[in-house]
Amino acid sequence: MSDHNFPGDLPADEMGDYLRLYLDETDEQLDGLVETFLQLEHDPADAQGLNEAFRLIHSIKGSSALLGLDRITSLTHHLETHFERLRSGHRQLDTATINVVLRCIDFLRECNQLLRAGEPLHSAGELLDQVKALEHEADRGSTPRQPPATQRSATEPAAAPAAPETASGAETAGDDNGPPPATADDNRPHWRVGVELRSGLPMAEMKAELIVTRLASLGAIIDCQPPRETFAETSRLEMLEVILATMATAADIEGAALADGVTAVFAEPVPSGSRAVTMETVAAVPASNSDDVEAEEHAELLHPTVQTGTTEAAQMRGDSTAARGPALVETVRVDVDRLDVLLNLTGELVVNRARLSQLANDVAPAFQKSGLGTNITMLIEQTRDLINQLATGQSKTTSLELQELTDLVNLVDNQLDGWDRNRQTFTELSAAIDQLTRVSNSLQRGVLNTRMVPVGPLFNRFKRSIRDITQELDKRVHLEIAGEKTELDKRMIDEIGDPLNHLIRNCVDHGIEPAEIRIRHGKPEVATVTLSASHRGNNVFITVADDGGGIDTQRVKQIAVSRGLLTAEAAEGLTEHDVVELIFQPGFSTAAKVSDISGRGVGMDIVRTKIARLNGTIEVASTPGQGTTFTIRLPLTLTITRCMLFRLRYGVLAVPIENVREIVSVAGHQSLMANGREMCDIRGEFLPLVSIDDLFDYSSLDVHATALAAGPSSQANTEAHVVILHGNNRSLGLRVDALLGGQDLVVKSLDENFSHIRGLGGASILGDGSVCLLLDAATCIELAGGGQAGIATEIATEA
Amino acid sequence: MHTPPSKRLLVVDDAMIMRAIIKDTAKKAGWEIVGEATNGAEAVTQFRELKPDMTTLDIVMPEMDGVEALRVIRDEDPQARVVMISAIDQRAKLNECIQLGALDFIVKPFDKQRLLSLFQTYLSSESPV
Repeated sequence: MSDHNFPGDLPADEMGDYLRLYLDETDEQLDGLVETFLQLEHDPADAQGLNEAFRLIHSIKGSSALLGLDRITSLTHHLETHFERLRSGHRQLDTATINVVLRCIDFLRECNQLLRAGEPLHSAGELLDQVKALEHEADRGSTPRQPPATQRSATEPAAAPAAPETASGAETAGDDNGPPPATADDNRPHWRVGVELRSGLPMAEMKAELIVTRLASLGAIIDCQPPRETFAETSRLEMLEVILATMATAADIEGAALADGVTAVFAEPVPSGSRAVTMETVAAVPASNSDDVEAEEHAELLHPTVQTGTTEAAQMRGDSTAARGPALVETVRVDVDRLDVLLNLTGELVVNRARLSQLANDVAPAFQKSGLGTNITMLIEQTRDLINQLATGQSKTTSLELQELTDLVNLVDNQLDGWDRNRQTFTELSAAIDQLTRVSNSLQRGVLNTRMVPVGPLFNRFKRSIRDITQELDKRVHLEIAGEKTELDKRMIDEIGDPLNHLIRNCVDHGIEPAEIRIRHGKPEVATVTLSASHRGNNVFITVADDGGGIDTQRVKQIAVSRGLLTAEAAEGLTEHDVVELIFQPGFSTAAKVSDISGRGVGMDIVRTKIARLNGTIEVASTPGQGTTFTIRLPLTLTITRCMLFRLRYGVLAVPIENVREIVSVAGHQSLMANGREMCDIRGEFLPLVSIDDLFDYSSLDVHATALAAGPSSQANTEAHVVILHGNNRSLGLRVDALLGGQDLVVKSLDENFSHIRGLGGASILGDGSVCLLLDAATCIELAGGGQAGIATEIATEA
Repeated sequence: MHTPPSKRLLVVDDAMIMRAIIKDTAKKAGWEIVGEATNGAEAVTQFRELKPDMTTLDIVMPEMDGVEALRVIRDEDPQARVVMISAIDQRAKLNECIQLGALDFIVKPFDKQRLLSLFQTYLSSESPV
C-alpha cells in the first residue's frame, strides 16, 4: 500500500509543487547528512556534527509529515529520537549506528526516486525495526555519560527553528553552527586585489611572489588565485587575485601591488556579508581586450568556473561555501525542462540570426558605394551632356525624342536618390544585425549559465561510495576532491554520475593494491583517490586518479587474448598505450574474479559509450607502480557545438572542432598505398587517408553522384585538403572538397530513420536554411578501420 | 622652486657596464646618483653613509653577495627600499630576497625602456614596504 496520500485539505496541483520542493530540498539534506556522518565517523563526539545531523533529520521529519508521507515521517521520527539521545550525550555514536543511519539515508533516497516517478513507497519495515532496536539498546545502554552543561545549552536553540510546519526551516536554521570558517575570521576589512602582469614578463612567478609578499606586509592574505604554491607551475601567469585582510587604504594596497611589470591593479573592498565569496577569476589567461569581442566572450565563458586551484585551496573554498553558501545565495528553483525549452529557443534564435547575417552579407555588394550607384550617376551625367549638345538646331521630332530621353534620365536620377536612401537603410540594417548578434550571443551565454551547476554535490556523494567500497574490500582509501566549484550543464551532471561511480569503484577495486603490498612498496597504507574537475576553454575536464599499482599491461594482454579480442601475435605488436586502451573494448574485464564492486556488468566500454553520448571523451594514462588516471573531457553544453564545416560533393558536413586535429594539404606524392590502403605522410607520421565514400554508401543512393564521382586515385594526383580527424586517441585523414570554416551549430539529434547510421552524430540547420550532417569522428575512424592504431595492429598481425 | 627634490639612488653592481646603464637610465627618470658600489660589503658601507632613497643591488657579486648585503641593509633599516637586479636563473636567491623584503626586482637582460619605467614608478611611489 502506498503512503503517498496527500492531506485532503490541499489542492492536488499545489501539492505537486510542494512535493517537488520537498524532493529537491531533501535531496540536498540527505547529501548533507551523508557528509555529516562521514565526518562523525572520525569524531563521533563532535557536538556540532551531532547537532547538524539532528537538525537535518528533524527537518526531513517535519516536511514529510506536512506532505503526509507517513512512512518517511515514522522512520525519521525514530531516528530523531535516537539522535536526541546521542547529542545530549546519553549515548555514544558507534559504527553500527552509522551503518543503520546510512541505510536509512539510502531508503530515503529511494523514496524520493519513487515519489519522483509517481510510484508507491516501499515499507520501511525491517529498517524501522533496526532503528527501534538502536533505541532499545540505548535504553539499556551502558553508563550514561554525563552531558557537559555547556554542550547541552548550546545545542538546544539549534534544533528549535526547524519546526515541522516549515519545510524550508532547515535552510534558515543553519546559521548558529559553530564559528565562521577559518578563512574569514580576520576581523580586519577584506579587500579583493586584482593584479595584471605584463604579458611575457620574465620570471612572472617571482613577480607574483613579490607582490603577494608586499601585500602580506600590509595584513593577512586570506586567499590567492592562482594559489601561491602553484605560481611556479602556472604557465602564462598574467592575472593574480588576492583577498587581503588589512587596515590599509585602497591607495596603500594598490601601491603595494604596483610593482614593476604590473600593467593594472585594482583593490576593492569585499563586503563583510559576503566574505565567504570565493575567487573564481581566470588565473592564467591572456587579459581580455575590450575591443576584441572574441576575447571578451572567451573570458566570460571562462569566468564562472575556472579552477586552477590545488586541492588545498579548493578545499578551503569548499569549506567556506559549505558554511556560508546557502544562506547568502538567493535562488529560484526552475524545472530543467523549462530551461531546455529556453535553450532550444535560444539555439533557434542564434541560427536565425546567423541566417539574417548571411542574407545581409549576400545583399551587401549591391549597396557598395563604388558599385551600381556610381555607374548610373556617370551614365546620367554623360547622357545629359549628350542631350545638351544634340539639342541645338535639331528638327522638332528629334527635339521631342530628346525631351523624352531627358525625362527618362530625370526619372532614373530620382530613383537613384531613392537607392541612396536604401543604401543608408541597409547600413542601419547591418548595424541592427550586429546589435542583434551581440544580444543573442549574450542571451545564449546567459541561458547556458542558468543551466550550469557546480560539480561539488555530485563529487561529495562519492565520499559515501568510497566508504562503502573500502569497508567491503577492507582497503583504506582517502578520497580527495578538487575543483568542486567547477560548473557543468545540469543534464551533464545527471548523466555523468554513473560512469564516475564506476570509475571510482574501479580504481579502488582494481587500481589500489592491498595494504600489505602498499607497505612493501613503501607507499602510504592509506591510498588516495583524487577526483578533480577543471575548466579549460569550452571543456570541463574531470579526472579520477589513484595512487595504486597502475595497469598491468601483461595481464591486460593475456585477458584480451583469452577473451578473444585479438590474437596473441597482434597483442605483442601493440604499444603500451594501445594495450591500456584495450580495457575500453567491449567484453573486457580485468578482475580475475568478478567482484561485486566493479563487476556489475558495466564494463569500461559502457563508461566510454556513455561519455561519448555526452559528446565527451575518456582517456586513460597509467604508470606502473604509481597509479592510473582517467581523464574525462566534457563539452560545457550539449546543445551548442563549435564545428568545422567542409564541403563534399554530396553537401556540407560538419565535425566538432575538438575532433579536428589539423587541416593539411596533401599532394599526390605525399600519399601512398600500404596494405591496400591509402596512407598519407604528415610530417613523418603515417595516417590512413580516406574519402567520404569509404565511410558511407552515399554513391549507391545517387546515380548522378556516382557518375560525377572521381576515383580516389585520380584525386590523389592533385593537391587535396585533408582534415585530420581525432578521436579516442586515433587519427584519420579525411579528404574534403572545400573548407568552409568554423561555426557554432545547434546540434539536433537525428530522427529514427538516421539514428542507426554509424558515423553520424547529429544534424544542424545552417544559416542558409540547408541541413548539415554532423560526423561522429570516433566512429568514422572506427569505420575506416581503426585509424592509426588499427592499422598498426594489422601490420603487426601480418608480420 | 616647485620641482620636487630628485630622489637619491645608490647603484650596486660588479659590472661597470651594468652600473653605467643603470645610472644613465635612472638619471633620465629623474633620480640623483649618490653612490656606486661593486660588491656587497661596499654596498653596506655606502648605504650607511649615504642613506639613499633607493638602492639597486645585483645578486651575484664578489666578497658579499646581494642577498647578504640585502639582509644587512634591511636589518639595519627596515624601511630600506632595494630593487634587486637578477639573472633569469636565480630563482632561489631571488625568492630569498623577496622574503627579506626587497622592494622589487628586474630580470637581466632587460631593455632600457623597462628599466626606465621601473625608475619612474618608484620615483613617485611611496609604497609601504
